[in-house]
Amino acid sequence: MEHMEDLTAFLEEVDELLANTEQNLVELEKSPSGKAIIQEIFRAMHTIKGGAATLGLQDGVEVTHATESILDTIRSGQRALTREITDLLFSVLDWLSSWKAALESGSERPPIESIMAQIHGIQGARPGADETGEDAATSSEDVLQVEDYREGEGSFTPDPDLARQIAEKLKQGEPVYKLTVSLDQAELLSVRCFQLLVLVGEEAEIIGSVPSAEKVEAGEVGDALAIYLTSDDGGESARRAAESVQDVIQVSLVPYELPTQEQAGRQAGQGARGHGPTPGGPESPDAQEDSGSDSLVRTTNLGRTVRVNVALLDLLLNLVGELVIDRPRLSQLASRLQANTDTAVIGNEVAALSARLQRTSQELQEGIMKARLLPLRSILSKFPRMVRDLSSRCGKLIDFEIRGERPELDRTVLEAIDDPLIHILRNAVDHGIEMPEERKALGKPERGRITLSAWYQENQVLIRIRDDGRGIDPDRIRESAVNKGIITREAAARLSDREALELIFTPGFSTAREATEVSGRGVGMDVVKSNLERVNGHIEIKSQVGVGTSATLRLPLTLAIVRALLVECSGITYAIPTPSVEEVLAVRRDDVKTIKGKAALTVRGRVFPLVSLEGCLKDDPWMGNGKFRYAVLTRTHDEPLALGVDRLIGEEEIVVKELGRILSRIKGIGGATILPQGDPAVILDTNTLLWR
Amino acid sequence: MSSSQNQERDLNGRETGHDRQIVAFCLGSETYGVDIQKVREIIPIQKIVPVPRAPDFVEGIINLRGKVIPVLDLRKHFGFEKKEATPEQRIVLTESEGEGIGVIVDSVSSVIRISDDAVEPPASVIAGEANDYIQGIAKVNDSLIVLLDLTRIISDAEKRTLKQVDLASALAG
Repeated sequence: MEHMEDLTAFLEEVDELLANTEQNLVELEKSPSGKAIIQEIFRAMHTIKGGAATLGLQDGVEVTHATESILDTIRSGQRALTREITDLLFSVLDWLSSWKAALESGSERPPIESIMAQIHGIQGARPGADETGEDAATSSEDVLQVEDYREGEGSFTPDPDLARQIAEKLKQGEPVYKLTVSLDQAELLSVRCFQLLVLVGEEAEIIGSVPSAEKVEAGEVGDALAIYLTSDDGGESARRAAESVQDVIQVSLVPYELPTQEQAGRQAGQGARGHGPTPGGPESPDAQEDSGSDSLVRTTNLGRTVRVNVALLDLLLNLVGELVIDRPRLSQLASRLQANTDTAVIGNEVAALSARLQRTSQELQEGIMKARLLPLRSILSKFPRMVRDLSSRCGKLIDFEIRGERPELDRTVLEAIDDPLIHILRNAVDHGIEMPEERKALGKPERGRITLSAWYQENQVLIRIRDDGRGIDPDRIRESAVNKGIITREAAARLSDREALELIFTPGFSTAREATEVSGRGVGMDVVKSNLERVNGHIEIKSQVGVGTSATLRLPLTLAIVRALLVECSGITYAIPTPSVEEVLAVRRDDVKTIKGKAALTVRGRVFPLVSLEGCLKDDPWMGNGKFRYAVLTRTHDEPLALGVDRLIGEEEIVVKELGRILSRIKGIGGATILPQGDPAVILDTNTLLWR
Repeated sequence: MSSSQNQERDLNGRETGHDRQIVAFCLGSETYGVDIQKVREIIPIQKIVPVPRAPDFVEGIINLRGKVIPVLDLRKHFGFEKKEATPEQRIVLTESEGEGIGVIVDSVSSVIRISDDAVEPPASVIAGEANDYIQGIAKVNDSLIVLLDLTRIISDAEKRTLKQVDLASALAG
């Protein structure tokens, strides 16, 4: 891939589109008549196709193109939306997901044959070949001649289909424009043409082009392209879009009119197509969606947001960290100046400046922490599909609803709750909701219901997953816990029902007799709980036999998260907050000198006393005589210091945890954290590491 | 022990009437017991990460379900000699002013029910300084169980820590 960045951006977009499409498909199953949804899925396919073409990913282009054709027949009403088709669309989605994943990881992309066979299986005769008789019967297209393009070297035969479509648009009273683009003779002509079609297509509705989109895709292009389009703004935005494409030499835009009797044609058209409800009221799904302000317009999904590279965000976080560290030093300087009568005036000014800096840097810090927030939606969007698949696999009927996906949480928290939510939902589907017959027999509605709701409460976000299934029987839990040797029978009998429920969080507990395909996977509620606890979250289960179960997650809005360098000394891992780290380096023997018998490291002319981190913590800083593999350059009490360590593990985002009263006042130690592997580790405070 | 239970002591300092449940554990050759009410849970020994500069009776910290919990070594606290880790070792988790704290013991033998009548107040000679956190000595089947007040031990440890830290700061400053 020539442009890695392009690919990355494309994959991110695909990711979002697939997530949206998935949601749309689930939605579509509920209301198969949703034209707006079909249109949105169509657009997603189209956008992916465009991107894939630009990047030369032919397989992606083929699959999305074939899918588009199917969707096209549905939106034009030629084909009804059957279960068979939604299943196919889900398969396409799966193929695209694994295709995307393969691109991401650079592994082999999935084969195209079987999915194409599936698509063609449904498609039967390719639509387009069998245009409906009604359309073909429309007269007066003969008068229209779409000129073939002759200025360029390529010469193309006029396309009667295109001519007819243009005539139709004009008859409906829509303005048609012809956008002519001349291209430099470049290697990527076909790609450029495709880009043009894609970009212009985003700004205006393309009726057709010469050469046609199919030919462009097949690579049959010359150094010019004519696009016929309709647009609300006189085609201006389309022209700008075209001009933005590389290798474009010239763009011209002219209104396209029927050569003769335009008026007459238009009126005739209206008369002929009597089923158009309003004059000029087009039947294209596009317009329907635009005019019909239905509640399902999910264009808001994209929101007014900008993608920010995580690395950039981290950089900003580090810079803010540095500001925060420098803050007290400035105020110290101020008080030193203020103490001296000669400099008191300057001191006052510095103090005022320092106070302002404090305020700004604090707001900046809060802002950056907020920038790390992502909407819950980003992890919830895959759930409707998941629940659909799971429930159809177990033969259950389930309505799944998400309420309130707006709350935002820190990235770290979102990552930590993803698996727990999946697990809880799987449990709800597998163990919670009963089979339809059973529900019927119990007098419950046949369709089970699972609701995921999320909302803010004070400084927390609450997520609740509730089902109306069979509930959890405390006695069964007791029994199971006793059988598994988790608790004695006597102790189990003593537990209240509520306490008994808590047993499901015990490691090794699972009420399922056998791990099923759905809820198996070997993770239990204990893992769910520990995942949540790592990010200071909490889970509570309530259940009533026969009525249902609810699991409520409480999550902190923001966390005390710091980026920290993990280092190792004598097998123990320590975390040093990144803002206090100036540099890390491998120690070369030559750079270590002794000054008055004490080791010092010279780095680009600067001298750092080289002490042992382990020694510092044992109050014997000069332990090891400067023989270290790596050094961390930092400052302690405002003076440069190199800390010798055995190993550098890497940088990590860590959640700061309390150490408890007994350990809270130890100098040089700022707190503790839980490392990703689950071990606790001490967070160092380099500024107080060495006692003065 | 709560004050209400103290009120139930008779003139000889014995508690009357009630039974109590004791978690019995071993340290060296001796058996100790703590009130089951004070024990939140008992977990097998797990990875304990040492905390530099911590008081010497603090063995380190553990990850208990996402919380960082300090763990104390009772052997060190009582001035017993250090012992190699064994699979029988357990961490007895208790709570002090809302914070969890773990205590390492050599092994947990059982939960036993003893009648208050079997508990004698500690003889001051045996208890020595530890008088504060020894609640009594129970006789069970000819063996003696020293009943400990874990909360006392911990608040005692906290006081010692503060002293140690303050002293160190004073010396350093």
